[in-house]
Amino acid sequence: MPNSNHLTNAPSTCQIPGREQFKHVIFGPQAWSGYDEAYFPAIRDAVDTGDWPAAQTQLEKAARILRRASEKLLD
Amino acid sequence: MLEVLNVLSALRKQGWRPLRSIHFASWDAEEYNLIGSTEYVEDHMSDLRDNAVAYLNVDVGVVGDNFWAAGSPVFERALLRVLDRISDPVKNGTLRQRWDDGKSKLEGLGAGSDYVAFQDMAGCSSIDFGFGSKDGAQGFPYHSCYETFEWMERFGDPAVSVLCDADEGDGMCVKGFNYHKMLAQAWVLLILEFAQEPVVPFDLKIYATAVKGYVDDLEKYAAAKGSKEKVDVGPLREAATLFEKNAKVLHDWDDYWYSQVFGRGGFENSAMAYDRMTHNARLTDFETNLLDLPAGKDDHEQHGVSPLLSPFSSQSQLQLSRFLPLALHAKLKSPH
Repeated sequence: MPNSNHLTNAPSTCQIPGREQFKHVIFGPQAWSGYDEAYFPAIRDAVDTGDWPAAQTQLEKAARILRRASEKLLD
Repeated sequence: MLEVLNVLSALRKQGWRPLRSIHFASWDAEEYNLIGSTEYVEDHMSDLRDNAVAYLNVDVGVVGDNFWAAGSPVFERALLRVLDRISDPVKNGTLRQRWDDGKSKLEGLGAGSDYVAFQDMAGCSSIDFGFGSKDGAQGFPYHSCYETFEWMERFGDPAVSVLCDADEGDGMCVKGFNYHKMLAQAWVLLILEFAQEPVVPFDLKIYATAVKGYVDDLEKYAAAKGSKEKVDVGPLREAATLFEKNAKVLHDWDDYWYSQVFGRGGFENSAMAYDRMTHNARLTDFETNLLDLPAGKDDHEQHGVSPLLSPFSSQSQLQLSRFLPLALHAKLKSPH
């Protein structure tokens, strides 16, 4: 019984506990829409919550990965 | 898909061999969070990341007469080549003509079908396609018990008077399932593009242009949410410009290969073959390189989509503390 209570109460019902399995920095499911097309999901998530420092961190990470992938095209 | 298999097995019987392996899969449990395809991808993760070239997805194949496609922009050139070679006997034109007339575009991928694990987890360039209705509305009894063969035969892809193939005599005849046939044609031709073209027909120049558009969209989106002077998209824009520049240099090599090899009556010397394999690896590894993966054993940072759960945000601490009693409870219960 206590265990079931924890199970039902634990994650607040209107939040998804992250989706780290999705690794692609440009394409990925959005937090709140399964069908629409979505680009830069991690950045958009941060923008949606108004967390600007997180948005900037995610943006710089995406930029770094895109830059490295582009450099590898000519390596 | 069975029709596609028939065509390829007929080719095989004539002695045809593809340059690259073709795998066929039919997924279970798509509606239940894409379980079947995701399990497959998780089981074959490193193989797919290192070796997979492309993933073609067909979910709702035919529910109308309007060809649509969504996917990674690398597919656009190959897709248009394919559409150019398929004729639509009902509307009397090639699929490419109808694509251009309808101002169709290769759309972006969402998360609505089995390509998600391939594209977003394994970094394997994916495309999803089929025939839908013109306005995109679900005109057919989607996900209901009226979704039957009879519906398809009478309304979905009904018999119409079409121009007959040459071997059946000239003039008109009545035929059904025309769009199913066109779908199989598009599918086979796309498979052939990626399984037998010596130079993998991915186009990273188109991808680069698309990425610049995504960055513009992102900037507008963030601005609309009040990001003014708080978020600088500069680094991303610079990276996109570098991508565009390098993609152009990479693709200049395509012309070199075709002029060298075709200029010698199709003979490819071993140096050119070696260069081509390197070139193909660069093309097909590109999307794998766009994955946010740990750099090595000592990299303990968080990777993947999850800014909301960054350990430094107060929100995630709240969540952690909510999870903690559960975790402790589980630990106490465990026999070890």
